[in-house]
This record gives sequence, C-alpha cells and structure tokens, in this order.
Amino acid sequence: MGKMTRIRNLLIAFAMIAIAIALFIAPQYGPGIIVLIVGAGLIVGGISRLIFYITMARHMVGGMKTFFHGILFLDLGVFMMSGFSVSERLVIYYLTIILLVSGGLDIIRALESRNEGASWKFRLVSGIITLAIMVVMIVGAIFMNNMLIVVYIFCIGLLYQAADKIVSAFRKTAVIYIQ
Amino acid sequence: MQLDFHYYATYCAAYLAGFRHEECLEICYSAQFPDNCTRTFLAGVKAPASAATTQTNMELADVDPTPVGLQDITRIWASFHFLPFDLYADVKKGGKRYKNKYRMICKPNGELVKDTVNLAVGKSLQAVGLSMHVLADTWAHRYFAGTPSVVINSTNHCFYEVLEKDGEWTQRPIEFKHTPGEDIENAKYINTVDSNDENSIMNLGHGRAGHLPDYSFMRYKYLPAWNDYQYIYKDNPEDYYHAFCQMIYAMKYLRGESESFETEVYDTQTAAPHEEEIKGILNKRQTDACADWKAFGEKLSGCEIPDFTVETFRKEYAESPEDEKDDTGLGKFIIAALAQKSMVTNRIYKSGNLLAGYSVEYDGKKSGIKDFFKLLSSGKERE
Repeated sequence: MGKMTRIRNLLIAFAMIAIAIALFIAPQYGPGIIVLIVGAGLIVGGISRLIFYITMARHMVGGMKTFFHGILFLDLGVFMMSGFSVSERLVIYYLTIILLVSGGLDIIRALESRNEGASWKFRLVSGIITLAIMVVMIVGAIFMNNMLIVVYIFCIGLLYQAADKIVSAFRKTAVIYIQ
Repeated sequence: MQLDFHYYATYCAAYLAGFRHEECLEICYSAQFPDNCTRTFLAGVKAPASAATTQTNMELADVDPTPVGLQDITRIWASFHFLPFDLYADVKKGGKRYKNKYRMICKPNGELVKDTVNLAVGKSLQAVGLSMHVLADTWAHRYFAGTPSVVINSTNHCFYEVLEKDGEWTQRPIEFKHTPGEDIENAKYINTVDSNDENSIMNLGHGRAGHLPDYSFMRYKYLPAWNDYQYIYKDNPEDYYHAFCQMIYAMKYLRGESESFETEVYDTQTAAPHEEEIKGILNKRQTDACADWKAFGEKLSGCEIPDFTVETFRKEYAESPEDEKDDTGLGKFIIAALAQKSMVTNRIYKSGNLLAGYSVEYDGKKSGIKDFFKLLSSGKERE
C-alpha cells in the first residue's frame, strides 16, 4: 500500500467516524442522511462504471454491458435521492442483504476453519451477532416502524469499517524480496 | 490442471527425468500441494499465512475488495497458477490500467518460467515440485490472468467444444451452468456467475471458462474478452503433452544434467517410447485421469504410488518440535512458496505494475510482511 492510499484510507475513516457521531447525536435526521449517503454511493458507482467503460471495457468483447450497468446505477442513485419515503424501504433491504451475506459468510468460514483445526469460535460468534442484528433491524424497522434502529445499526457499521480502514492503513503490506 | 496431472503425471515425468521413486513421491506431492495450501489449512497447523498458494471459495468470497485484498489474490494466483507471460507486453489499446491487466495474461515459455525453474536450483525436492506445478499450469491456464479482471478473463456464449466424430472434426456449443455436476456427454459444464465488476472474484483466472482448461482431453474455441473479437483455439492434449515433456527437461536440468534451462525446449526424446500411452491418457474423455496416470507411473517405476492426502504434510509438521518444523516436508514447501511469491511479486512490481502489491528489496531493516523473513533465515542456513 502506497503512502497516498494510506492517507486516503485514514481520511475516509475519519469522515466515516464524523458521520457516525453526527447520526448518534441527531438520529432524527438519520433516515434522510442514510438515504443520501446510499444514493450518492450509487451515483458515484454509476459514474465510475461509465469511466470504466470508456477507459477499459470498450476494449473487451461485450463491453457495452458495463455501459448499461453504469446508466442503471446512476438512475437508481438519482431515484433514491429524489423519493425519500420509498428510499427508506430500499435502505432497509440494502442493509438486510449486506448483514445477511456478511453474517452467513462468517459462519461458513468458521465451520471451514473448524474442519482444518484453525481457530473458529470468534468468527462463529461474530456471524451469529451479525445475523441477530439483522433480525433486530427487520423487526424494529418493518414491524415496529422504528427507523431509529436502522440509523444506529448503520452507525455501528460505519464505525466498524472506519476502524478496519485505520488498522489497514498502518499494516505492513510490502512483500520482501531477498536475493 | 488437477490432481491427475499435478500428482501422478508429475511423478511419471520425475521418474523419466531420472529421480528415484522416493524422490519422485516428494516432488509430485509438492507439485500437487499448491492446490491445497490455503490460509485456513496453514492456520490449522499454525504456519505462516503468507505461504498460502491457493484460496478456498469461501476465502475468496471473504476477501476485502480493496486494493490490498486484490493484491493478495493476485500474489497467490499469479505466482502459482497463472504465471504472467510478458510483463512488458506492448498492447496497442487502453490506458495504463488496461495494459497492466493485459500483461498479467498467462502463457507458457515466458521469462518468469525460467526464473521459476532457476529458483529451485540447489533447493529442496519440495521446491522442485512446486516449480513443476507452476510450469505445468502455464500450459493449462494459458490466455487467462491470475487477477480478477472482467476485461481479460470474461467469456461469452461463443464457446465451442471441438471434437472428432466418425473420423471428422466437428464442433458443438458448450452450455455453462452453475449447478453441480459436469456433463461431458452433452457439453454442459459448470462455470462462475457472470459479473460485470472488474474486480469480482467471478472473473478470476479461468472461472468463466469453468474447468475446461483443467481437462486434458478438451479442445475448445472461444472469444476471450481481450482478443479483439478473434477466436482462440485451445488444444489441451497437445498442450499437456508439451507440459509433460517440458517438465522432464526442467527436472533433468534441476538434477544437474544440463547447464541451463531454456524455454521452448521439450524432452520429447525421453518421452518418445511412451508417447502413444501418454497421448492415450491425455485424449481419453474423462474428468479424472488419476487411475490411468497412476497405472502408468507404477508400470514405469515398478513401485506403488500412494494416494494423495494433505494429512501427510499436516501430521509431520504438527508433530515436529518448533525448531525442526522448517526441516519437515511442509516446512520446506513453505520456504519454496514464500520464495516463489516473493520473486514473482518483485518482477511484477519492477515492471511498474502494482496489481500484486509492493515489493521491497531486503536492506537489513525489517520493513515488510514479517512472514517473508523466513527466507532470510533459510538462506543463512544454506550458506
């Protein structure tokens, strides 16, 4: 990892922490801000796909698909940022999928590690907690109509990712070459 | 390639190159082991994680899709399974990012194959076996890159099997699916899911072409993403025979029978008395040729070739005292794997390509991934 990448990771991590703290302090604005963040993410994703098409995918067989994906992402992002009431539901689905995949993967990896005799308990607990958070979010947001719970879960996710970025910014990543 | 070629065929090539039965077993075991040495396995025996030579599907799914995560994938797959052919290849399209991906395409007889074989000179039999894995895979995995890339590794529906029917060459479309079970009679094979994401693990290596490059009998033609809408014809039986003869030549060199290892040299002379039998195995339509190769190997040496099991390495390593672990089969394999990964990463980095990450030449300071310092202690011991 180069110095610039390390600095960029640190800046992104600090921005994530700042957003998480702001959302904890004023959770009533949370749903709208989350929709904005996810919508902006989709727009950035759409634009980056279009750039990828221009710089790389147009040279490949079947590269037009990337162009259409870019347009679709861009469209979805704009839609999300323009219609808040529908978008809140989309955010819940988005977070549910992320938590489901992440928790499920943790559990499968824990079982794989156990078969090889490696440490696995921490990973299993982590997977179960992630799935439990997902259930709490679905019950709270969909059945109890309480969006605050989504805001807090989103904040925890942001803080976790920020911590991960800070740790990785200081990790040694260069491969040593010994002649 | 799979167990049948990496384990049994390598045994046969080693024997024809002049190694004794016991040496052949050590070599072929380590020629197969790069397909088994995962981080999860290494964690289970408390060995350095950086020595991983492959990844399980779950490990791949678990990779952080950041540059660091992708560099880790590339280090593993480019170093051991998709050795880049030409890190300075001139391609008349795309920017630097495209060129970097294009230059990771694997083909046989590149400079890195030479470096790989030379790296095993004077080293353990485990290093010899590992280098034979890398060499053999350059033939099976040619035209694919050991880094996730949709612009290089993706394929489309224009995929045909070329086969001989009633004395005539014909072709039939191949149908790819995502459910278990290969159906070679009806040309239905498993491949990875279509993903347009450049860095998706679905686009790693030959995932989009399924296991076709790993079957020795397979002949196919398809439109690779990188080849300007030009078909490529892949003749596995021919390629696998070249791989076999090149392994004999390389292992004779590693035994000290020749002064240098050159690319595009094949010891067809040594293989000639067995050519018909070898080509018979390679052309037989089967997804697993272990039984045939095993029978051929046992006929050659007159000795039994035990079945491959990862327990052989695991048990010996786990039961050895801490200060003797480097002298076990797995210990020697780990040192060979770290050396190979370090060398390939260095070559890629020096070509101005960061896809495999950063490489720092050792200058007396400990400023990199600590697992690689094992190379320093192993080098001192040899001196």
